[in-house]
Amino acid sequence: MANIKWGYAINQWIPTSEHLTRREEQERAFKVMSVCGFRGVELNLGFGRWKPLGSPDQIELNLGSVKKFLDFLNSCGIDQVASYFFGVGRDHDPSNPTDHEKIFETAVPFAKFLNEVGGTRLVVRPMQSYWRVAPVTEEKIKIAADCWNKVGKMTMDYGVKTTLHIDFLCAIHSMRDVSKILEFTDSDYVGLTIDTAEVVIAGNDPIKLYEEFYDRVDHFHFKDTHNIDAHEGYKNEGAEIWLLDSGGKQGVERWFWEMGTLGGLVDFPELMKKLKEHGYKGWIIVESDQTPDPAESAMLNRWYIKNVLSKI
Amino acid sequence: MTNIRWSYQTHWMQDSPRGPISPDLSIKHLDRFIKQIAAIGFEGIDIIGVLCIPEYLNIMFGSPKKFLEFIKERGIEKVVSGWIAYAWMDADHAPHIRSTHDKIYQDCEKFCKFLSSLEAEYMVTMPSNTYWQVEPVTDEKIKNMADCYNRVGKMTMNYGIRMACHHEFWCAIRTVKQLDKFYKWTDPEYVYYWLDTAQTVIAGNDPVDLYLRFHDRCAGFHFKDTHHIDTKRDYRLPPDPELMASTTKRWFWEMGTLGGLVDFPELMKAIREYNFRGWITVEHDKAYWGGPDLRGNYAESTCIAKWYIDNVLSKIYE
Repeated sequence: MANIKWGYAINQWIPTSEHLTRREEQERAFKVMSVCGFRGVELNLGFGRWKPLGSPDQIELNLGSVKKFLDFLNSCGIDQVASYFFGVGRDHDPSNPTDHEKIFETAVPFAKFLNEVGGTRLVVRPMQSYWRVAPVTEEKIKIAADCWNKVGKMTMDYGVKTTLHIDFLCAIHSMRDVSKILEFTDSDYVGLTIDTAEVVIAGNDPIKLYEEFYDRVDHFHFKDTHNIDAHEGYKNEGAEIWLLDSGGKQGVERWFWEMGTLGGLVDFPELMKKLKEHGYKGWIIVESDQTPDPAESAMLNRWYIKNVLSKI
Repeated sequence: MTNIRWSYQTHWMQDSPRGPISPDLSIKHLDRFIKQIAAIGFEGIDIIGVLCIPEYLNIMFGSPKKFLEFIKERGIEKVVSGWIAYAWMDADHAPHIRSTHDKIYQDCEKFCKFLSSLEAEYMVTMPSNTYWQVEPVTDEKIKNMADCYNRVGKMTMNYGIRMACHHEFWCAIRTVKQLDKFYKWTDPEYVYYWLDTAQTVIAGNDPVDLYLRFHDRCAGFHFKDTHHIDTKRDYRLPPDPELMASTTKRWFWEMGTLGGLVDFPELMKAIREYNFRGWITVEHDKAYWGGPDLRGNYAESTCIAKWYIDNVLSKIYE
């Protein structure tokens, strides 16, 4: 049994809400993943009529049942759902106690679904974007931590660990804040996802982050970046649009890249050595959101894994 | 060791900030292209276009040897074949006209030397000009073409390279009757058959039938699919029936699509029956074209085709 299981995130096939709605598009996406050697998929939360894979309800509506969805995945050469990215919307604020029940209730069907499909991680955004929450106080972090403790306890009842995924716009931004939220969360219920590109863009070092919290790290997103948010654009109002989509003052057209491109800032080989050193066992989900060509990115990522990372 | 190894014909196009580009004029883009096909298990390449021009290849890489090192470092083991053809008739290149044979022979020899330096196994050609430039296709013209490639094939053997003929649906040798005559009049020691599945179907022929007919001459394949048979005589369309046809804006598809007309499993069974051992080449010619409804994407098409190989064809014969 290999220590590392490689999966791919579905989000790169959904650059707009109109993508990946038809079954044949989904079939081609899963076949691309499969032939590139990725046998697990991370689904992405989404609601509304154009998100047929966005929630357990939608999946059942579209495929008939969870079992039929799994059959469909298997027929495309994908063994299982590894995880679900649970990025709740702007009206769900973990640092606001009155939103906790709503977040908890929303998470329940995802935990149940993951249990049925063999998935083991509910990947959550621990807090809203920085600009929505600022100033980020210890109190707010503590309230958010309480939220995920409750959710994490519930998901563990379904054999699913809740794991905090910190993106570069998130209110949890500095190493100090990461440390705080981990301190306030129960390690039995809540782990940490390292998303390599997001960490680098936020100005942190994924290797240092892993070295410091390796005993809490239970999930990875591997993707690269060529840029750091050099002007603290994440603090600006509307950073999702202004920075992530429009490139901010730096005019970055594309924040996220495949592994192994010229100019990539993530030191994957070094990180891989650290994973080996600490005996990491579990999923690594490769992501290529913002790619202009999903299949090309999946193929290039496979090449890099096969020829560089797997040798470590 | 498997009986079949999979190669990829180097047609490719990708988007770039300056619009669609072909990767073969830039090491940076070739690097991405070669890595992509190697990543999903192709082990060989069949070169076409710019890579078949020694001058350009040498400018980019310094020498054929360095080009081979470049692809090997990225996981592609070898160049399986190179493509040369005279689709467009000119004063010096018309296989059905005997006076042009010397020039064709000389050009092919030059190319063959280049292929030899790349350690390729096959030189693949279309043995005629476009149908409309040759018609009416008479026995005499077929005989002339056969003689031309008997000479060329004999020469390529001196370089350790086998010459195979590939028949587009708009080739002057396209019907079963014409194919029978051509292979009857060519020497089996020097002239081999290269079966292109989609071109064969578009021409109204059955690839399984043609393989059974010419299996002892068959050196290789281009595996691609089509959704259409040419029933409107597009094969006679000047100047080009592949991009300008009335039947469809997109003739060629990857294996494994709904509406595909090539029966690949049956062909694979026939290949198994005759114990074919060697390379099968996947090709996605003009996948990028076809307008907003039909336009494909080389990377995705190639993944879908390889998925079909791994999950369907390899279960029949590998």
